[in-house]
Amino acid sequence: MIYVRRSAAVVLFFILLLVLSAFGLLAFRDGQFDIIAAAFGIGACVLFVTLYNVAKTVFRHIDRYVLIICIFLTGIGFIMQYRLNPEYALRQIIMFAIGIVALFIAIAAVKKAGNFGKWNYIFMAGVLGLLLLSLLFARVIGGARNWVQILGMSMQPSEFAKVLFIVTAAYFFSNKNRIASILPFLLFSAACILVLVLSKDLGAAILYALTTLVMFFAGTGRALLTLAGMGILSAGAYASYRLFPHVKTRVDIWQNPWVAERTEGYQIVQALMAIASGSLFGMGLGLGSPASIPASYTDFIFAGLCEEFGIIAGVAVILFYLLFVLRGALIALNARTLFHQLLVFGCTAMLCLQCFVIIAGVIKMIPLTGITLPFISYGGSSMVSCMALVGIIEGVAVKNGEYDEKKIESIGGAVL
Amino acid sequence: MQIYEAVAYAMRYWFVLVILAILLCVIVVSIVEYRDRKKVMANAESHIGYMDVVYTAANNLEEGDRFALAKSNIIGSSASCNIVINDRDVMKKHVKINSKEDGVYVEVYAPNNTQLNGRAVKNEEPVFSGDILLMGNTALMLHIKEEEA
Repeated sequence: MIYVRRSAAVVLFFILLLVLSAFGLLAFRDGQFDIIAAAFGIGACVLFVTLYNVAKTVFRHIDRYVLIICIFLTGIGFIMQYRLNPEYALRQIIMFAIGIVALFIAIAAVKKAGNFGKWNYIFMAGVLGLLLLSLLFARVIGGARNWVQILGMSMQPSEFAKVLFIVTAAYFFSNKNRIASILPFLLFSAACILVLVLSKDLGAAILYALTTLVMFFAGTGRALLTLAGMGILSAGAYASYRLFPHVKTRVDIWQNPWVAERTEGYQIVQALMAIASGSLFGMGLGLGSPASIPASYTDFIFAGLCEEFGIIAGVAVILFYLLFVLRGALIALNARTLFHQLLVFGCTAMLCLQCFVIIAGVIKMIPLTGITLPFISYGGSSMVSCMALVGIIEGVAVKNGEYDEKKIESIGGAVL
Repeated sequence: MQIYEAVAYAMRYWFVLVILAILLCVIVVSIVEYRDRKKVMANAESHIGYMDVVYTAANNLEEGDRFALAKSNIIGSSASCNIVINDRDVMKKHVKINSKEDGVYVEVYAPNNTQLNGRAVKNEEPVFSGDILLMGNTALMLHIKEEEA
């Protein structure tokens, strides 16, 4: 019996078609042929094809469709960023290349190391260190104190910390089956969230808190304690609404952005109008005015996407994130140890929550908290950390594939 | 500039089309792959190992042929057997390979024409990975899963 892994070559071909045609169009935006846009499009395609082929050759059992979804979203991101600001797109493609390295390192690390054992305590110290670093040394951008300048480059340490955070969470929730022994980790995550709230990085704080909660539930299966945790979170959210004026502003704008249309509510109002003017099929690439939305290339990129590609494409992008979650869940279900199950589940949950928090914020479903849209938004730290999360998922997929292959070989079959 | 506007306006349909095509491909393949894997893994679960044909004079087999072993297999020349060997020296129902609580056993119905690792077999004997079962003019090497042995 031969089990043939489905190739993703057809899908990759469609992605290349999309990216090349979009950059072909963008090249003629100013009336004459812009060689840089064409070169950028071809460069991105070469990078995608190389990544796909190298990954599936080096790690035979990689989940090809998780990788393809992440390539597709990155491609859409490149198109939007080049359209908004070619300079940022160039920086983003470099960060994507660095992200590929992070992806391979993560796959290799998950494949090699068991559950990282004592390393988890070092990871914990690393997470707290990174978060404190941003609290103490960071510059304030957009109300949040989360940018650190290192060697002339701005970085967001909370982005890198979240990768290690998930590894430690998976370790503690899987290794310790008594609640008392999970307690130190819960205190640790409470400390992380507190530091994030103090640095006014609310998006990351919500992300860490919700990820801890869903991983706690998945790991221990205790519904009552999870509900209690939700209660504590709600109380904390309410307290920060009372204590911090900028949280209160966010909620007020969410309830009615139109009263402050020219001031605090400007961003959301612009985003809503952009999405509305895009209608079903969009205004056409390069014909909208997404640049009028503040932060259109990072947090609000979804609004720009809907304006130029239309709501159908916007919904399709959300569906791609859902498919990503689905495939992540399948990998988690097939994983052989609780640690690996929780690891994949945590990574998937974090990426999914991140999408939800920012997309729902942009379309005014929940109060806005600024975080990046994974793979699409401009942001080097975000790109690298998302690729590392994908790497962890793929690493477990490779492990699953090896177990499956052994099983199939034991009855005389093979995996191709 | 007007040409660009016209082209960009027209191409929005193309972009939506390609995005939906990609989405459809990923959904369809995800479903197909899920079913495939489920079937293959169920098969791998329900079988106990496999046999390779090492040497044969039967006219329906070739050296290198491979059969998966179910929990219970009857080997013989009758078409109703799980594994059919078309050979004059193989009986209609020649041997049975069976998985039991404490291991895998071969039950022999034709002791005259059957050898296990070169010696005669009485009615029932345990078998292990690497054993060679000779029936008539056909030799089969057994490979049995570790958890079954």
